[in-house]
Parts: sequence; C-alpha cells; structure tokens
Amino acid sequence: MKKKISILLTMFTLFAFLTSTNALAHEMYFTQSGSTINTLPLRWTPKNTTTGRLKVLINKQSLTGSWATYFEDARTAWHSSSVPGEFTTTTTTPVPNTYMVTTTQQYWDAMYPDGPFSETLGVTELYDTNGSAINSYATANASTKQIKGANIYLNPSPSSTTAFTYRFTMSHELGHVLALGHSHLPQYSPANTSTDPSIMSYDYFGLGLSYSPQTHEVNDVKNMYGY
Amino acid sequence: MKRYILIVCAAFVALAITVYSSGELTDTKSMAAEESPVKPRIVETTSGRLIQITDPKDLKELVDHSTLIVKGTIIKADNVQEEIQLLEGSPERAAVEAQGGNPTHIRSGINYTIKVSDVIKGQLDYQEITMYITEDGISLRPELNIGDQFIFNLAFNKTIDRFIDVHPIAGYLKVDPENMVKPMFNSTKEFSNLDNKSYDEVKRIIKDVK
Repeated sequence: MKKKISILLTMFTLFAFLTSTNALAHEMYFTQSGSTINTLPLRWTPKNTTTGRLKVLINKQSLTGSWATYFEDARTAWHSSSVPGEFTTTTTTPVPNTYMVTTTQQYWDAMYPDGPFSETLGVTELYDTNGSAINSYATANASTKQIKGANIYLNPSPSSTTAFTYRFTMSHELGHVLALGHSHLPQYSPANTSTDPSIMSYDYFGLGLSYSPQTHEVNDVKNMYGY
Repeated sequence: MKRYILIVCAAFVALAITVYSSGELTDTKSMAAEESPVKPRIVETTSGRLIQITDPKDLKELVDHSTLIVKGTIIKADNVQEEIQLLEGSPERAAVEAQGGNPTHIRSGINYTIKVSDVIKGQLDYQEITMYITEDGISLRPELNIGDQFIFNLAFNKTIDRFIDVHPIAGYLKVDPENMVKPMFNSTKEFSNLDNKSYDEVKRIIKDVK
C-alpha cells in the first residue's frame, strides 16, 4: 500500500511542478558569461501603503494622436490584470511618477534617425531614487537599483501603425516601468509563445493576439517583488 | 488504501481545476484584445528602443526608397555620443524635468566613413561619405568591418546631416574581392537570385529597376 501511495504522491508532485508558475523572472538588464546569465535586478518602489500593491501614477497630458486614443486600453489591460499593481492616471495630485509623452517631431528626428523601412515607436527611461536616468546596462549598474519613476517617449508620427501596435507598444512599455525585461531572448530562458505567452516577448507581438499582461507577466511581477 | 487513493485523486482534480480556471481567465482577457496579426516585425534594442521594421516587398521598393546607391569600402568606424538638447517647453523636456533629470539626451551610434568607388543611383560630389548607424546592441545589421566592400542603399538625413541606410539588412549587398555579390537579405526570390552574381550584373539589374 505504501508503495502505491508513494507512486501517487510522486505523480502528484510531478503534476504540481509541471503546472506551477515559472519561477524565473526576466530582468531588464543582465550580462552573459558562457551559458551563465547574471542579472541586474531593478525594482519599482512606489507602492500603495494600504494594499502594498505597486503604484504607477501616469501623467498622460502630453499624449497626442492615436497614442492618446489607445492609451486607456493599454492602461486598463494592466490595471485590471492579476498583476499586483495599480495603474491610474493623475495630473498633479497625487504626484505622477510616470510620464507618457508623444514627443516633438524635432526631438524624434534627432534622437532616432530611422530609414524608410524602420521606425522607432517607443522608448522607456527609468529613474532611480537619486533622479539618475537608466537607459543602458552601465547606467543601471551605476544606479541605486531602486526605481522611483519612468518616462515613456512615443513617436509623434508613426507610419502604417495599427491599433494593435499602438496598444501593444504602450502595454509593453508599461511592463518595462515595473522593470520587467524581455522574455523572448534565446539565451535567457525564452518564453514559448504557445505555452507561455508573454507581452514582453516580441515573438508574441508577431502573433498579434493580445496586448494584455499574460500569466507570464503576473508571475514575473510576483516573483520579482515577492507577492 | 482506497481512502488514501481517493484523497490524492481529489487533490489532483482540485489542482487541475485551479490550473484550468487560471488559464481560462487569461484567455478571457486576451479575447477583448484580439485583432488580426500584423505584418511588420518588432525588435527592441538593449537600451529599450522598440523598433518596427518592414521588409521591402521587392527590389524596386528598396531602390525607390534609396536616394543614393553606391559601391564602396568602409575605411573608418567611429563611435560617437552626441548630446541632444531637449527644447524648452517641449513635452519631453517637461517629463525629464519632472523626474529631476538632465535636459539632454545622448544619441549613441557609429559614423562609418565609406570610400565610394562607383555610383549606381543618385549624384555624389565626394569620394567619401559618412553613414550613421544608431547603436542597437542586438546586431540588427550585418557585420560592418573596416575593409568590407558593399553596395550600400542609402538616404540622406537632413536632421543629422549624414547618410543612413534605408533598411538594416536589405540595404546591404556584400561585394567580395572577386567582385561577386552576396545580398544580406534573401527573404524574397528576387533578392536571393542576386546571390553570387557579378557586381556588373547586379549593377545592371538595379539600374534597370523601374
């Protein structure tokens, strides 16, 4: 009898393991040495003091055009997801910690001189608790690793962009605000687009299925922030 | 024994239901966002720049977008970091100032000096030109080494006063020391057919594109 129970328990454990959440979270910045990945964890610090949930207070006053049109879809996708975070809009009170901006054309042309077949859609810049901008491994390494705010800069005149691309771009960038990294990189435990869909994967973007945070994002946030 | 088996089975079923419900919730969320798949692909640089790339549907489209097509050799590659001042009163500057940041951004890239040996399309008064490539950190382009010879498909960017490539892959056709051509982009038959053709033949094909 003990043997049978033991077999059943083993099967149960195996089933629980196979269906459990992914314990590996994808950090934004890492280095690779051979097959070893060394991560540089950054952590979003604003939280709701009552609920303990991560708090993203977005100023969207400078969003224009289709970015403004589809912003609410991207925000709601995160806010209503199972991610332990709140994504709300504000102008001055409470003080915003995230600014989403459709930039001037002059700035965009100077920063991102793209060719006719490629165009930069959006960029996220994090700010640490010292007010230093993080936009590379070097600046991340030199930072306090504690994130107090973020700016998302968006292309003022993207061409041939679909509603899905606007929504996905903003939703993906909101993932970076919480310091989520990419989940498609072949050297860094890539998420399978079929069995482990993730909006932090641009392989998944290519499928055009959803811009909403998936179970992958929920688990990554939980693992990274200890929820 | 039956009792133990029953307990284990019940737990097994309960877990399966939990997992199924969780998956169902995710699917429900996704349904609201369903739209038809998009054709262009998205890549993102190590610095977090999300780029949408569309491939040329044929050689004509690539040639049409190129204001200058030359055969040339890379003779110099300089890493450059250039400060971009954020205009006072602009939304990008307001956002940076709100975070207590510096009102300048750094544009990082490489200036490639190309010694031109032949002009296939466009007009050029100089033997040397500068092509600027923004840093991406993800090897978006083929390897561009000093001494390499390519057919470059270029456009002049007035804002930065330099040439840029029109496509990160299709914009480059390598020319080997024997003057044979290898296109870096081979996703369409028209491009792959250029493989291992002589430079003179490829030049004629490009010139014939109407």
